[in-house]
Amino acid sequence: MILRLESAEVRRGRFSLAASGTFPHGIHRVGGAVGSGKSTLALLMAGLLEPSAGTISRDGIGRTVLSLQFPEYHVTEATLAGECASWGIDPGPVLTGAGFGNEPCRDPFSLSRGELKRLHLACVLAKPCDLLLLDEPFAALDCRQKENLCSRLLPGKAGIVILFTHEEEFLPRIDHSWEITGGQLRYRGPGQCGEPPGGSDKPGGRTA
Amino acid sequence: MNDIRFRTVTGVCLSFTAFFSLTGALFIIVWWLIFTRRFADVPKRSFIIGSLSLIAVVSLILELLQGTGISYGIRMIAVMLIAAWLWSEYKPGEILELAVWAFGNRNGFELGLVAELSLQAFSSLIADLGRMQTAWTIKGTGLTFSRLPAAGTFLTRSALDRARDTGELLAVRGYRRGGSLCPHFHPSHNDVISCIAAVAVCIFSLTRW
Repeated sequence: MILRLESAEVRRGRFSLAASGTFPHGIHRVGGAVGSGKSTLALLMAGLLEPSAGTISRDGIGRTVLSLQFPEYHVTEATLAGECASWGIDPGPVLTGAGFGNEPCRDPFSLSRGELKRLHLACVLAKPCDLLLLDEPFAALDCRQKENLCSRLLPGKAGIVILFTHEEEFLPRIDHSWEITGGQLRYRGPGQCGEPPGGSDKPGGRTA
Repeated sequence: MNDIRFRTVTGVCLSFTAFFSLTGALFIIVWWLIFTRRFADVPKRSFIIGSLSLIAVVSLILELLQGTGISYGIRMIAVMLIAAWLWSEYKPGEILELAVWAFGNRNGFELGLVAELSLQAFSSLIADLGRMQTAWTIKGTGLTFSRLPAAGTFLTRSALDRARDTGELLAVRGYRRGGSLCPHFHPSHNDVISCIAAVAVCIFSLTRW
């Protein structure tokens, strides 16, 4: 199971992003400044955006799940139970786990963004997949919920997990760190902090 | 066309012509080929293609039943081309400037603001629809007939929520009625020439009608 980006590029007006690299089994963290292209890269990896150039191969990856930054973008149903069911999962345990066990008929838009994010992540994590892409998964969560999320993202539990995040304080054990700088995805090394900047800044990144 | 005043006159003349005259509709298609960038700047070409396909189907049915399908089809295509051109040329804020220029800072500002907010809401609806399609793709489903009510509810609700937020924002900022705006326009030679051509098409077609 491996995700490979070979000179994959996205160009939109003055924005451009180039990405090369290999993402094996484990937890990866992709950092970068606001507007650097993290969400674009997530869409690219999920196959929801076609690269302008280059290729993306998904060897042994069957099911991919992408969690977008804003949970309201995922809502397609009028009730919490319907929303869970739309992910193809049993609503009962997920709703109970997320703290909404007694409110299956509640309108998803009556939840606060933090509550909606909690429910959305519960749905995403309940769905089995080979490639899990989480775009800013910690946004809108309080410290307790961030810790809870980290505990559910245990290494080896899922296939390939890629976190696109600014979060520095609450993180699960990261296997590989990446960063987008200057419109390019660069490998920063193993672990959370990775190698010192400059150690592996070769254009196109490096195999993890 | 830079100046929305010329564009408005052109749009009105051509729409009027397309509605009343088949010959005029043919002239409009020629005008469109000469004076516009065609589909180069149209934001959602799929909408145009979908609309043209729908017109083709209705025209075929009308032609088979009443023999008026070709006339209907040509005139509707002309209307669609004008609409696509006006849509692609629109720049945010210019309708407010036009309304203030035409009707002043009180009623014109109100009218222009409503028009701008409506167009903004339309753009947001298209963006919402795109996000829903992405969400369905991620969930491994697509837009099916059974999902249409949920999609419609979602889009309506989002539009109403945004309208409420905008209303509250205007109220918080102390908006009551009217405003102050000094409109600026930048007409070019091409604006004048294409507008004169459109008026000529209109007069010629209507005198022959």
